[in-house]
Amino acid sequence: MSLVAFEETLKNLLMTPEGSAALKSSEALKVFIDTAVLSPAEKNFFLSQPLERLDQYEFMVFANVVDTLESLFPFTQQLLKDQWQPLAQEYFWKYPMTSYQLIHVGEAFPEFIGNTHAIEQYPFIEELALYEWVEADLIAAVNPEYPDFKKTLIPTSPQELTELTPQLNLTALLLQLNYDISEIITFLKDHETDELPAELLTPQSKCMWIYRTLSPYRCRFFELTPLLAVWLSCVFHLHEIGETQSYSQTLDPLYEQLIKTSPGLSRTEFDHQFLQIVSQLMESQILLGSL
Amino acid sequence: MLGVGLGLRRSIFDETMMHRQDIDWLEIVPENHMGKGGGSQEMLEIAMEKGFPIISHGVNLSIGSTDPFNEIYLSELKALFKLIQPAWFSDHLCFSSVGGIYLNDLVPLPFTKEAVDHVVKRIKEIQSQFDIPFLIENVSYYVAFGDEEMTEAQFLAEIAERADCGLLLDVNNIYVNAQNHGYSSEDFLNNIPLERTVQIHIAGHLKQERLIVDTHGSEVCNEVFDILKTVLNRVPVKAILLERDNNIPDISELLAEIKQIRQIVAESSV
Repeated sequence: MSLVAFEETLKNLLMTPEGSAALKSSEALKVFIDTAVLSPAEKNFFLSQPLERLDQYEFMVFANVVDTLESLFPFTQQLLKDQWQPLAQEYFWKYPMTSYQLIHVGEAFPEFIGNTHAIEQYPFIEELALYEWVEADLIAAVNPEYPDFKKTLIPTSPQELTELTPQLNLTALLLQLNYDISEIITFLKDHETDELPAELLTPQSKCMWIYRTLSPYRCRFFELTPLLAVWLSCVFHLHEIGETQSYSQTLDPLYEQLIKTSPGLSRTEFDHQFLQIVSQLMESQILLGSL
Repeated sequence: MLGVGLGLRRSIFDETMMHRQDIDWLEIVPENHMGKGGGSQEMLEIAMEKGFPIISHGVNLSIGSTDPFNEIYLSELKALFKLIQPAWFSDHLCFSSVGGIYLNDLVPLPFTKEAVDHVVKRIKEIQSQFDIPFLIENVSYYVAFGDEEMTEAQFLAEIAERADCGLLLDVNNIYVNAQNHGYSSEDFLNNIPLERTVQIHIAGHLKQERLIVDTHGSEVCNEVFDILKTVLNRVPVKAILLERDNNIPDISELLAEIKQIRQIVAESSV
């Protein structure tokens, strides 16, 4: 029994639709094994196995994946009901795992589900799955290293906006969505049905900041205005490239943009409006403090 | 002796932390923590603050795979060990990946000379990369290999001896395999280098119509406790772990089983 042949044949039996079909009967297994590149002794080994024993492995390998998918995508599963299991099976065959961490089995699932017939019934299904995946990914993300910021340092005046630098919570991601996924999830949490109200099926452009709080570790979302989305993305980018800019410096381009449509808005008024937003961002742990 | 431990599981984490005096040490599945922050890292930090020694028991090193080792896996495992400082680490005598694809299950190896040579070489490679002892665990298996070249016990014995590594002896797997493949657990114990046992796993299983399946989802049965007694009466071991991964009951039931294991340890003659 060659080790390579043994491992390859078992993988093909346990992880492909052809292998699964072969495990349905002794005759089917014989056809499958006859076409495999195996020595007569190796063929004999597989053909002499009681089917229920090979089935047991097929069951365990798939169960590990489908259980993980169910824990990662509970609301997608809730909606898909009877369609869930066959779709999970199709996904398992089409996207074999290349990571040693089972959680990564969910990485390609949103794209996969968006290319199935499920999208006809639930046009937001890919976004829902993506939202669930982002939450799962963020909750386990590596803890970022932060500079020595002060949690209690919150700008309260336009002057302080020029003196302080924002410290953003870096375990975060901006999601631009076409449906109100947070409302859909809230609805699914409260109702066991898969029948959604019409307004939730209507496209609505949403800009969501999804992030993990520091204490305790929880994923939350925050709906952003387009301007706030630009500002947070800008501050996030500065952190990524290791550049520090004061609140005011990061706000300059936004103010210049804004006065094109609101020419009467003074910089002081703009700063005061922003200071109110800063305290909200601090409370929700999107901003962690200042330097 | 490290004592009697329990697996670190998120669903019973808070209860586990409240029973430091009843649980001597914790075993983690490193894949659940490698390259991860947030709650995964926090659990380890809290457990270490409570003074729990932590041992790593992997599922995806894939020691029997014909693939090269996954270098990212190894570097993340080393990084994790810097944090938890385990006294030793272990994985299963099986393969869980092939051709770069992970099966995420413990698939057994055929009991052949080729597989022995391959695994011995791979264990030595792992030993050369880590400065703590590596243990190999006997797995449960459902395919029928026959014993034309060697028996399961001979397979395990030759690997452990030639690789000069320790054993993580799973007494439930011995029972499950003995029942499923019709051999005597006593014969199995007589034919492995029992003195290499560093750690023991004990768990429950599921009796199906034609197969017993190693599920870690029920209480330990008397027959498995009997195998534990036999081993402890022959060799000293450093640690025993109660494995429970499915149908996890109230912590009080797990603590009662830990107490029962302690009693067996206390009554053992070695």
